[in-house]
Amino acid sequence: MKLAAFILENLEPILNEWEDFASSLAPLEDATKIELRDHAAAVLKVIAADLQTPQAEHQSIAKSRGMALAVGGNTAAQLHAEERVAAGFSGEQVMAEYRALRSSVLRLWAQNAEITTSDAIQDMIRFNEAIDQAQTESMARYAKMLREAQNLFLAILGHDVRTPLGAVSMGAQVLLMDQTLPSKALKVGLRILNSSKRMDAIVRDLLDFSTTHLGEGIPIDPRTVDLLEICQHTIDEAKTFHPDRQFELKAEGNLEGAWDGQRLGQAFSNLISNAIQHSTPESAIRVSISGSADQVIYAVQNEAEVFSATKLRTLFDPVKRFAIRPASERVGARMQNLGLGLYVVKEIVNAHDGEIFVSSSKEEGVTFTVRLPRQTPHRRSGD
Amino acid sequence: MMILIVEDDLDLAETCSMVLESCDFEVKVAHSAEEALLQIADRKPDLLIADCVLPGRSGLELSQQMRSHHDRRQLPILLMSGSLRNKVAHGDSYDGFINKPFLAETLLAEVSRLLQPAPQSANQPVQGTL
Repeated sequence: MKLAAFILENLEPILNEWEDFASSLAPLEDATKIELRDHAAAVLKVIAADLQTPQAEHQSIAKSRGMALAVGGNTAAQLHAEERVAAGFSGEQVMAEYRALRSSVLRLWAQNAEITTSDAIQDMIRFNEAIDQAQTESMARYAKMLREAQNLFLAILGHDVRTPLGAVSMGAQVLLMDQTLPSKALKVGLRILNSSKRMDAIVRDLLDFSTTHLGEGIPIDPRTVDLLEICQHTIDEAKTFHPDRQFELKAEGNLEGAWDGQRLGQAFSNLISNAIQHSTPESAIRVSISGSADQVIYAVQNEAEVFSATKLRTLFDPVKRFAIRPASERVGARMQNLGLGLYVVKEIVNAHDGEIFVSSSKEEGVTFTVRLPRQTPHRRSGD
Repeated sequence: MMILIVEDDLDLAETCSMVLESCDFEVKVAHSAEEALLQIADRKPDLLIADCVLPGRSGLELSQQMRSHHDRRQLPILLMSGSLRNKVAHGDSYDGFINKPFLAETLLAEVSRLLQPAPQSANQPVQGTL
């Protein structure tokens, strides 16, 4: 008997065996069991139909790599993953279910048929490819749902923190407006205000990180601004928090144009903070900005150790950077910060249709260079 | 001049009130859009400052309702939000927008701009935040 026919004729015993295994992974309510059984049955029917359809070699290779073309809507495997998330299954358990499904089908088929002919072996290969494809679809959907939920969680957290943070900073400013208060109270008020500014920068990066991962991009609102003014302001601000550090600014050309000044101020500020954090205290931070007819080039250079190839590859991806750190560096003082700043810089530059480059050498230290084209399109990222 | 602040965070509402009162504005506070509607009818404020996200009806819905109301259409509205996306998405239903957290001087500059008797250009958002 061909495998496709065997699957369709023996759905019940296959599903019973698979269900016994699935129940051993996590306790399920009866309604959930029925729904999941329906999905598994749908997956098997799709596979059976697939086995009955002629297949070219390139389709076979694509399927075994989980890269077969999707045909409209959600597949049974994708819906199955959604139900599994709702039922509280882990990713490993979903994978285990597919292993069980594969094993149930092949074991029961082997009890009923001689798998020695070329056709039977070909059926078995195609069945494995189809299971691989379904498993890939399920896992991709499972991972996407969790990733989106985590980013949404961070976005809501970042948003919610901004209101109480506003109350803290506004409260500090109310204190600072009352010059009859003793100097000690005013000094504390200033400290609270400065700390709330730093906290705002962290929360803003976190919010941008999570919302861009939800696929919305960073919204920009281009208006005529003077980048020299913004550049100077970010350096002045850095000097306030780091009075012992030396900053050099070199500017030339026309630096007025249509960009989102607030967002670029955030990007410049993040690059300067990065330079301060990753250079020796006695070394200077050199900032240069130059405007030409069609673009502006902004660069921040500092003395630093030469970046490894791995570091260069993951520099703008805080999650991967965090993942490859040794466990000993993930906690406490060695961690320093989440490293979201460079990611946000890249997203802001992208939203302006610009580019960011990094170079690292023993002689020149580290230089981040941002290229901003003058022709910012009249769109907002995320539209 | 009377300003109505619609903000469900009591601390932020109070500190904003203190800043505005220090500049001799009369300030009333509502903690929801429904409460704000009663106060608007009763006290006829000169400016409405509303948080975008409120329990029940949102600040955005409140501002859209003001815009469609014959007698309240002229009431200047300043929206506050922790997300710049609200500014981008709902630009036609308010006169000013400030991104939380903001500086006292940013709040005062926007209030002063919106209370000027001269005709105002709609939708002029403020760049400055903390």
